[in-house]
Amino acid sequence: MTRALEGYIRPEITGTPFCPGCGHGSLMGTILRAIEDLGWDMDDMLFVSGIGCAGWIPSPHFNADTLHTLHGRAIAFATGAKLVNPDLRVMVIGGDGDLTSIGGNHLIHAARRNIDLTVICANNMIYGMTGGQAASTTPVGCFSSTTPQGNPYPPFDLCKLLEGAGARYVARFAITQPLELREAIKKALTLTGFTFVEAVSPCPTQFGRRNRIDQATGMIRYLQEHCLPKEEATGSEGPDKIITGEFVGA
Amino acid sequence: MSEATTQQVTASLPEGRYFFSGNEAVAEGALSAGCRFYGGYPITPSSEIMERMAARLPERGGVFIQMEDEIASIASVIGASWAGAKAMTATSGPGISLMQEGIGYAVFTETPCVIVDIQRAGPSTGQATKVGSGDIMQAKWGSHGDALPIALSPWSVQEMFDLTLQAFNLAERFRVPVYLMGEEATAHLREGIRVPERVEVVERNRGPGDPFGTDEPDGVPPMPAFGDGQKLLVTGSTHDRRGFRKTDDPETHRVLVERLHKKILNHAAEIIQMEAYHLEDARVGIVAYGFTARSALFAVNRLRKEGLPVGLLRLKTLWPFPYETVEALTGSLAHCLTFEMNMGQVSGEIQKVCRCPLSVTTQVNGTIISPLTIERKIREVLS
Amino acid sequence: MREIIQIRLAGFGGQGVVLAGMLLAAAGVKEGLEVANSNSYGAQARGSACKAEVVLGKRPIIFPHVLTSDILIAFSHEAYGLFLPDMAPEGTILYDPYHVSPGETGHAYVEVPATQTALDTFGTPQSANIVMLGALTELPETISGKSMTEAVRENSPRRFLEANLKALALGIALMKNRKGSD
Ligand code: SF4
Repeated sequence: MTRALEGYIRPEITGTPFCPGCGHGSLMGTILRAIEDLGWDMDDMLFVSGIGCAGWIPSPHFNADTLHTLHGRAIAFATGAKLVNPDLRVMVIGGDGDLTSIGGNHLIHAARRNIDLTVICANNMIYGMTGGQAASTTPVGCFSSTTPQGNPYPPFDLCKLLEGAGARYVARFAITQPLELREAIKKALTLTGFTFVEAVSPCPTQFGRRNRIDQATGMIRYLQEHCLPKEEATGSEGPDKIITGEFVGA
Repeated sequence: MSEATTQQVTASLPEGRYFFSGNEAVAEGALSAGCRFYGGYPITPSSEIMERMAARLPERGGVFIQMEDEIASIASVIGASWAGAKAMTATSGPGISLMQEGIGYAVFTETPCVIVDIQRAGPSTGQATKVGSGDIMQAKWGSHGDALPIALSPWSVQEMFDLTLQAFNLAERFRVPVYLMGEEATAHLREGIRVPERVEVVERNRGPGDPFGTDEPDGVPPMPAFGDGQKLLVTGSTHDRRGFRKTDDPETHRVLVERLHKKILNHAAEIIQMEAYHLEDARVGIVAYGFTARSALFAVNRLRKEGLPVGLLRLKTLWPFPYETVEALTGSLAHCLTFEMNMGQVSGEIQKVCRCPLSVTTQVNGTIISPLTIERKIREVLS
Repeated sequence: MREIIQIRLAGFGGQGVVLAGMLLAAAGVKEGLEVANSNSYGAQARGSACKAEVVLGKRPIIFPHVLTSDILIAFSHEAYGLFLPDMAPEGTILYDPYHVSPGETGHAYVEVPATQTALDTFGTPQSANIVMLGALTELPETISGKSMTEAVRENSPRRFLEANLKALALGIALMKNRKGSD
């Protein structure tokens, strides 16, 4: 974390709990830079998170009101807070398991209702905190602690899911695309309505290790090799490609 | 430490007599208490509460939302409460089961909220439209860990109004989820009730101060709201006075969990309400609550006319449980009887302290316990 | 009025038994009485037994359901047979002869041709419940016609208000005419 962002972090915080090479630290910086770019006061913001590594991005780090909730339920908590105090700028930050598996129902319903929330889904394609189990986002064939023969089930395309559910803005970028990601987060924050940014974030500890992508650098390379801007996609890409860009509300 | 404050405010309706169902009375009690948020999911036999709130809450400047399930409902209620609103939900047994993780979170984060449980005959889907009283233990033990919410038991449509209002006051005063343990028979009963011109409501103490700890071992800390500039840190993990996670510190966990109990138990005298009928010289005493207490009082009055020494203790507060009163009472009785529309949930608590023989009558057929059943049991005991 | 009056209304689903019970209790509130009103339905929404209970009291009502009915309003023969055993010996039974053939039971019987009246006037049996309520107000020691009219006025959807008030008046007239001819 650069010193410039110090004011956005609680003074008591001396470090983050993320593993070396985890994408969440980088995502944390990208989110705060987006807020700094917008010149927003952290006292106007509420960050809501659930359970999982990504739930720790705002809590306890961000120097603002933070509500660290139950596994999967962050969006429902955030809905109540936002409706009672519409002046709060509410951002929900969570992982793919948290927001799209156990919390999937809340995600699609908040999108359907177009509740004025910004949801950042740190997608690392695995359950990190609980020990590398398969998620609703794990690609077919990938290894996890619960798919030792390779994952037999196809993953959600989260952006398509959110588009279908009626979100106001939907984008996907990897943390290896920090500039695009920051712009997408800014757009998501400034648009009124339900906005969703999928931030593909590497988990070297649980995903990389099990899928023979050695070291943090290997995960970064993996993302760089597999991400493809939607403008360059032909539609005939294999399922291992991660199509990035703005899908709704560009 | 500053305290929650009490104010007199006008009720949600002009003073007067109204003909309401129990569920309608719950909604007006909540509105009179200053409820500003309702998040819920439809379920028989509670849905009329939600329907009335959908119509009435926006009229009074509040927010109503029908959530996607009961888990989301309680979550939205907790979020709303931290945003500064008095907040509630209403459901029945299956919904209460789904809400338990959220209720435990509310206990641990000391989030005031009101949860109305219109009990029906369970377990599972059971008899969805029929009466039961099987959620009493779930209110106390439903969530994992040692949670101690407050639970109230209304016996009339008037009390569906009065105790809903009190539930909000207790929630705000003690920063705790409060259950209103309604029953289908009272929820769908229609009676004439009196709405007073003014009601007494408690407003939470918004601080400043540490939101999760007090110097006293049984204190209730202040609760600022999101947006107050306090940079609140709210978490369901073990936390220190300011909200920072302390999940490895045994002492922080002990102090917190014990305070959450003591803030209720050390104020039990302030919380617990009950009514005694003909107990001064009674040899046989009934302990009952909810709708069943009406049957019991009817039977007791009838037998008193014959000169029989019977009385009734009616519990209006189920949690915290009035062990001391029951112990003292049963010390003076020759026989204690209980009647419950479950398999003996409250009877088990009475058993813990009962100093005389105890006869337990349970009825789980989806119907109310008739005064005639109670009368017969008393005669059996007296003969 | 006595300290407490227990009234049971019963018929089959679709006859407006529950609504009639609610209107009767609402009229009791108008009268300044304590009231308790509860319902039970058969398994299906329509066509099966359906019961409403109203307890009217001068003092707070302890047990809110009917234990022995002082008045039974029978809209169907099945309901009549089902609830006869719970009648107070000196109780009164209002019955609709279109559906009910009463027996010799020692109770006071009042025949109210509510269904026929509704059919004759409106072409449908739907207002029979309100006609019956009108008739009830003419019994001694029950609810006044004035309170009942107020309750019907306050609780009727606008499109049914006129018909309901008319049905109520017809019920009252049925009983008045009968008294005249006695
Ligand atoms: S387990 Fe994975 S997601 Fe969690 S902190 Fe470590 S690298 Fe990041």
